[in-house]
Amino acid sequence: MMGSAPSDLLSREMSAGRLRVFACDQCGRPQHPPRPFCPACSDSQWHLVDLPAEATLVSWTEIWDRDRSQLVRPAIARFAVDHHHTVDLVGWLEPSAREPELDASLQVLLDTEAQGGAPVRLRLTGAEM
Amino acid sequence: MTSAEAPAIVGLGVAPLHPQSGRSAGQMALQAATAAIKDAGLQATDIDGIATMSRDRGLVVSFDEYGVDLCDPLYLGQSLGISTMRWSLDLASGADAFSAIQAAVHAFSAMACDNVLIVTTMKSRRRQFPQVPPFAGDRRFVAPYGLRRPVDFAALYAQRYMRERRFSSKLLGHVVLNNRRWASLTPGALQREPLTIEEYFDDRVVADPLRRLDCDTPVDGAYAFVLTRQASIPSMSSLGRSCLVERVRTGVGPGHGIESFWAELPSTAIHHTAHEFWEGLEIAPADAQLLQIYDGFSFLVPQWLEALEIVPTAGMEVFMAEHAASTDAFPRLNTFGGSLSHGRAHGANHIAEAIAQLAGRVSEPERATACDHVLVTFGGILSAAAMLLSRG
Repeated sequence: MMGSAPSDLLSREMSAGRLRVFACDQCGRPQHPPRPFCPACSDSQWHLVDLPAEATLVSWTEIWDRDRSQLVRPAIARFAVDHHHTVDLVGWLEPSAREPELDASLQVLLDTEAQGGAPVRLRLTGAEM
Repeated sequence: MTSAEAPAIVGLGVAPLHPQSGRSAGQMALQAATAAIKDAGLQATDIDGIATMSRDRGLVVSFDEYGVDLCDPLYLGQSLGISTMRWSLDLASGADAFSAIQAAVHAFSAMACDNVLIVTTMKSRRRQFPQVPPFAGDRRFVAPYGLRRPVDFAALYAQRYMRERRFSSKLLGHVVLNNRRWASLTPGALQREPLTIEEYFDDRVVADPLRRLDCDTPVDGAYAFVLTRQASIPSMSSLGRSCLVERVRTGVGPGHGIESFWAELPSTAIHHTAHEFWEGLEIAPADAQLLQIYDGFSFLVPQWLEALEIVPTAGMEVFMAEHAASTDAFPRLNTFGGSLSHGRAHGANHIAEAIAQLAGRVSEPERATACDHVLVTFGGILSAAAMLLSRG
């Protein structure tokens, strides 16, 4: 499954509304970004697994874009793939009236219309928009 | 390795830091190298090993009237007239001069060479980080979300670290103030204007929680060190046995590349390097009377102090507040201004300050510190190093 451009495949999946990462055929460990060999067992066969629509907030920052016209909030979200494995992805942390906290619960949304290859949106669970 | 067997740094040379010197990397490297060799009391022909950090290679290679705008063992060897080079190393990554010193120590153990010249060169040209699509490889999963510069990634680490430890943002201000206070007393430091905590908080946030003042700034310059096997310390060296390399450790973080490195956050290469650093030494953390702690980003300083068991987490806020308020606080920290105020020299200026203090070469009475042991560190997130230098 890991062809010459596995990251292309993941991007196409996201564009189609499916949030997925690769997991090792041998040990089941998810790996993101993609790697040729599993860091846990060295196997090189992979399959795609769906990520849940819930995650927890690992960290975040606020950055002004280059012309200081827009404030963006990239964040790291941690997904439980199964009982043994987690995987981390970057997404946009949506504006909220509530101050983010470490390990806060997140609702994960995929914006298939998003421009620029950044479709992952993270919403603090219970946050008012 | 005992002190009696420890290699010694016997020569130090500098091409002074400058915001934009207009000089080539080779020109600055040769200035520092010739000064270090002279300081060691050696001739260039006595050098039989060279290590360089040409980390700019592949980004920009330009040519000017002084030759190639990079610095590698071949260029240095030819330019200095070194005919017998028995060992060489050109580092493209790792812990910069610290990795080179560690490698030279191993080379001495293998009897590969006797006198190693280590040169690290900085060019202030700003690296160009991709700002627009298409982003390749791992970067395509982070750059579209605005994570493009090192400070953007550092901010994610800092956010998690500061909140986990329940540190206030004033802590980082105190790191900056401590360094600026010392820089104001240090000739050659690039930022010497006095600073208040109010001015720190008024500074622009670059990537929350990091302000512009929490980040070092690029400079031009070069540092060179001559490292010698203990048994062959040259009699003409002005440093003599004043600067022995008791221990040097390097480490890398648990991931590959800054884009795929979150799993152990906020643990970084610092923690891998600091682990068991003191084991087997007769010197305890409290014996280091002087600390030159890497501060490419301000939040790395408390991480280092904590990981190396210098300051307990619970005492960090008080420790840094005391250091921000007075030069009398002990142990002294970054007595030259650190990367934040002296300039981004990838830790080479931290080593140079340690050498100068151990050798009694610091001429400003407010900065001169009587010490037998100096702890020096470098790096943080991806690669890191810690080194203990002692007077022989």
